[in-house]
Amino acid sequence: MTRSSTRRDVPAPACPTVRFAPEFAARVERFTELTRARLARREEFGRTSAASGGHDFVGYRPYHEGDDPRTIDWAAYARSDRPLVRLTRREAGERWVIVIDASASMGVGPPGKLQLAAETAVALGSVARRSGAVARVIVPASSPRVFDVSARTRLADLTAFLERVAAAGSCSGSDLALAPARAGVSHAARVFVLSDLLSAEPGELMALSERHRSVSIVRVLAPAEWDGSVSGNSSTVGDRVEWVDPEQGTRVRIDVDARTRERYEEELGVELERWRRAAGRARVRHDVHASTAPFEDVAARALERDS
Amino acid sequence: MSLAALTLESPAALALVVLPVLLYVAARRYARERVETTGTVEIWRRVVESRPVAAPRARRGVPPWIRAACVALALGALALARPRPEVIADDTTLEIVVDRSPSMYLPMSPSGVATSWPASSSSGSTSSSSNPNPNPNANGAPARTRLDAALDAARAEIARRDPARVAWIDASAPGRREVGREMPREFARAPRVPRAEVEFAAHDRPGVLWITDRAPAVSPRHAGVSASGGGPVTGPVAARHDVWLTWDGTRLIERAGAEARARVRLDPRLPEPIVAVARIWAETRGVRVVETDEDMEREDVELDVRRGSPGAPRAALVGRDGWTARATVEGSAPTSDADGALDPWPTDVEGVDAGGGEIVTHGPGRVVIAMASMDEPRGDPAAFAVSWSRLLSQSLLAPVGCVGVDERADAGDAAWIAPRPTVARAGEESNWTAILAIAACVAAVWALTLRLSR
Repeated sequence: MTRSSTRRDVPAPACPTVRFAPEFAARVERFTELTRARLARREEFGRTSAASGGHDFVGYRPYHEGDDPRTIDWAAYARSDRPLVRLTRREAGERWVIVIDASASMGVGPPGKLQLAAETAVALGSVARRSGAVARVIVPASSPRVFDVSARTRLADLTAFLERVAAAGSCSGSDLALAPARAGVSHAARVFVLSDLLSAEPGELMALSERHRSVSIVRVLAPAEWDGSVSGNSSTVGDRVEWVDPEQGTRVRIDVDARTRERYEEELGVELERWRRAAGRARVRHDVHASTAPFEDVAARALERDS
Repeated sequence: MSLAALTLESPAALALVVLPVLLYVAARRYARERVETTGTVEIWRRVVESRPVAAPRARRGVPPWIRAACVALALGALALARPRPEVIADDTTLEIVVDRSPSMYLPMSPSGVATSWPASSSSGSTSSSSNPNPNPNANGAPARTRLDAALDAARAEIARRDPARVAWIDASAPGRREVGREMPREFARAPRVPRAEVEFAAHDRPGVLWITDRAPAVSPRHAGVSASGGGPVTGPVAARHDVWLTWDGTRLIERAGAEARARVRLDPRLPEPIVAVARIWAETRGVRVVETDEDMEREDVELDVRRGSPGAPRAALVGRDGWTARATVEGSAPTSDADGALDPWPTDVEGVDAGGGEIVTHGPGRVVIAMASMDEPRGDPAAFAVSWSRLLSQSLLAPVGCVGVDERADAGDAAWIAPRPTVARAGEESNWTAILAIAACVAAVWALTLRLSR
């Protein structure tokens, strides 16, 4: 009933590319406004506590629609006749790194895991841009692809960059962990890793954790990977499935039934628990999402600093 | 009793067995292994390593629930066919149904080889005593008839039976049964009144053996057959006055011969007007009147005109066809005799038949009259003569030795089909159908359970 093997003719994953829907930009904008307001409230809380050693004032930036009006420096407004928002050291000039795993396994779906990762990356980049931070989106590969997001960046350019990314090849845990350094960002305040983490070990990713750095690992799983179900194929009636790893070509044959699915979920639970414990020890945020989840939820969870 | 096999009450339902076959074939066709890409192959590998390897039969690809559904459908089809066990009764009685049509008493010859009977008929004269008696055992009749040949072929089957378990049945008179290993003597003689061809289909049942000359075009489902076969037999097929109408194998030819004249025997107790008309009729038709002092049985004449059974005399006005007459009726005319049924010949004018029985009945070769005396008929004298002449002509048999062309034709090759043993139903309450139906339901539930637990 079961057999493991490796073959050359590895089938291509079902969803290897990224396509942003027309309404995606509006959704990102809405998400950014809401998130920025929430973050601003947190900054206000931080400023209140600045008397006891809070964040340092580093300058101003123009007020954008959606910013909390309480962040406007009214004195500066009186002087310059322009609404300006105070920037703290923690926020302004902060370096964010968004690492997107674009290995072949990220093309598994539908919906494709790479699609959700890309949407989430755009949402994070948008928040970074609005916050005055500089974000670097990195797609690890033999020649890493990089896209910087700043206050002057158009989101359309970011989405165009991501639409040129396709799920292919492999990406190990060390590739993900070393991606910021390889991309020239050694002291990022925030690191987001968007991956299925299926070729990684917890120790590799936990090495990203440093003092004064927030690391958020977002694991994306396809529905079939989440519960062991078989994607619909009406032309077949049997339960026998040959699972193929699109990166390594490893194959496992098994009759998928209620019992094997139950065992699968148990094994997956063990794996996720291993990551959860490692992330807890390293003070790294580790969230798991199905690729069916809306990117707003994924990004909002990733932006929560304390796990 | 012993169990022999299963019979199906509704064998057509077996055609439904094609459904599970088609389902299984389709499942095999479409139960291809799916190839799915996933990033969790490693986890699946752990699942594989953590559970025991299934039996090899689980590798075929057809899901268990489809296999269970196939079983359910097959059992359902069998249940709809309503199988019943055949149980052979140990007290089997062999019923031998004998074809006594004229062809059975013709001489036996190989199929396709023509022979002649009666042997002298081809020259226009019959055998001794001027009477070609059809009895095959007497009067120069053929030594071995088609009946003999058919019986010889069945000897072994009959011999292995208990004599008390062998019954002989005249196919033309199935109500009578003679028990014994030997055929009744009566059956060896051709019936005086020719019998019609037998409707053997009415005797198609287990434990029955047909004795005939021509094998049936469609083999019986249950009965056995011993057919003699035999070549064509030439000879007279009809006679009129002194002329034989003879079949020579291909055509009919006329041959002169005094022995061709039929014979009528008149009961001297008949009313005088009837006797007078009968004599005139005989003379006109070339029929010889046999006098009562001649030593001749009823079976030896072509027409026997006799009185009915005795009884209390009563006066009656009789008549038909334009004549009437006062008559004294004694007893009644029977409606059947040893040669078979007799049809009424209505003559009652006053309705006395209703209480006293028939006054005149008739059948092939005989006319029975219950009148002891009759006054001179009134009305047109010719009407009386024509009326009675028509009755006599209608009842007159062909002269002995005359056999129809269809009877004389080639009977084909001999054939033997052993009779199927008598089967006793194992009771109408046989529960095979119920068992199969329950098994089909269980298999269906099993299939549904497997399907839902995927």
